[in-house]
Amino acid sequence: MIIKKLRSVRSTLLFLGITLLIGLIISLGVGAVPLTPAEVLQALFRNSSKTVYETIIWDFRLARVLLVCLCGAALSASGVAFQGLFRNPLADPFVVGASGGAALGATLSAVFGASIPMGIAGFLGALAAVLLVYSIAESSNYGSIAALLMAGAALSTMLSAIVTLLLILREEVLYEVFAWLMGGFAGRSWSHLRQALLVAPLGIVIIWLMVRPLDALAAGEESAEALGLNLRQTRFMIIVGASLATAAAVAVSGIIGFVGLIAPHIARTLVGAKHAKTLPISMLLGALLLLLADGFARTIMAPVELPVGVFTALLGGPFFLFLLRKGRNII
Amino acid sequence: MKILRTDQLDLGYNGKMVVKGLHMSIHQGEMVGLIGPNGAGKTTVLRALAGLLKPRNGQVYYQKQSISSLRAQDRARNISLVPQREAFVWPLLVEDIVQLGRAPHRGWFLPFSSSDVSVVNRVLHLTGLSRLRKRSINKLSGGEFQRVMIARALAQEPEVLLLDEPTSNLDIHHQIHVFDLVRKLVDEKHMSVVVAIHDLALAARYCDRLVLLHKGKQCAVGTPEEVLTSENLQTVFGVRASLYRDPLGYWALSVKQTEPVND
Repeated sequence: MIIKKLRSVRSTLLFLGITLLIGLIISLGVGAVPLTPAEVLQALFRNSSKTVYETIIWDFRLARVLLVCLCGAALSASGVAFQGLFRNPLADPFVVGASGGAALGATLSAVFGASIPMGIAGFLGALAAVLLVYSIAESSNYGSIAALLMAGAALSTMLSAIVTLLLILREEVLYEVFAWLMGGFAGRSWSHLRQALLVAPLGIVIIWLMVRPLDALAAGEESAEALGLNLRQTRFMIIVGASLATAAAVAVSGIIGFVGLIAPHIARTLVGAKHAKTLPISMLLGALLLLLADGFARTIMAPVELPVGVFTALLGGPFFLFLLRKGRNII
Repeated sequence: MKILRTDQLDLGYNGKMVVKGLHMSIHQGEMVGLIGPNGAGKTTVLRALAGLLKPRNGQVYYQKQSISSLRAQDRARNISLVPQREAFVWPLLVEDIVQLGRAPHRGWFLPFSSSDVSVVNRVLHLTGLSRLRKRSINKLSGGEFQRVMIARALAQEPEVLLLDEPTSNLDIHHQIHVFDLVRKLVDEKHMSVVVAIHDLALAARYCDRLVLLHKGKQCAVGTPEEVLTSENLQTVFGVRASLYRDPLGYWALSVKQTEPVND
């Protein structure tokens, strides 16, 4: 019933925006020193009775929470783009090899104790893998879309095998790399947020520009081409945009699955399939979902932080199955 | 006036040659039917006419220009194709889909203007879809779906409309409905139409001229009467049949016997 009432995009945007704000305030209050929403707001506006609260919020929690939202939004935007490009409801931000590349980059950085931090190495690895998959696919006889999927799957598996091999040979970095691969936001600060802000918005803007071509692709490449769409350019733009958004998130948070897969589906059930509507709603939903998952990840076994990817799957999975069961035209 | 013309066209995919030496022309305001058995190359010819398949040899000319020299966007303003068997992976709304037909005019990034909206409204009205505009494409019947695809093509405001088996999975009522609509576009708007079509009786009834394809070669061109001779029907389709006027004055086909299929 709620889902039916939210049909209009503007009211959905408003509803999700307010929910996200409330979520942010609650999330800022959660931690070793619990704060009430009122205390959070006072600290945010530098109006708190205790300066230590301001320090907690401004120096520790705010950057992390904003980063969580940015990553959730970026991964969801990327999911929308890849699902649209591949016309495949199972596509996610890592479908063209970004996860395998990121994992290998991060592992190499850990194994060789390189001067490049794991995040940056993961970012570069993700982009390199996507570039390789893209160039193989464009020169293939199979039709670029099928070739992209196949090359992405093959390369991901190959790179994961190399990562496994490296980790077995160099056991001492195993925990460090594994924790990074599972994804999480422990200890993330303003510098990480600045890093992500350098790249993620660019990717998101590129995806945003491609919403109409994505609509045209819904009926297949031939049909889009008959409308005068340049397929090669479109594929390139979508892959660049989505990969930048994905890699930006990977660089600061590791590999977080599931958000980018399900946020677009939930968005479609709320506001329909037109990409100009699906995209912003997906981004808000992704931010919200990741915020929630991060909240669980850092509180359930505090002070130990659990991998956030575990909770995106545990929270998103059941909801996704619920939507499927209701037969609400997810796809 | 010849609006679309091909010049000794050879067409193929990868290693395989599908159509050889096609020499056809379409005049403004006429409806041409592409007929022929399965695998004769009808879809391939349409793709080439739409500029989606690069010819091995020869050229397709739109008016005086080679179609391969046109920008994709300019091509789509003049020629629109309704491909066969389209399937939407996401449940877009009817009006969103029809609006995409304006992309060749408005581009892929600028917002649609009020003139785009009025074109969309007009074609929705013309195709009888006004009431269904907010309906999801996945909730339409076969006939409604086909009308949406035609409406999208019309929103391109093309000179030439190419249709690939537009009625192949429709019942007789919707077949007639769709073809009446297309014929009206030809008669009233002087649109030029090329339609690949399986049903020979429908082809004879609606088309001004027919092009008969057989094994990738064009083996007859002309009015339905000239093309659908008993001889052609026997050699190309392997049936003993003849064309006659039914009591209402439409062309119809009576099939007496099929020959054994031999390849």
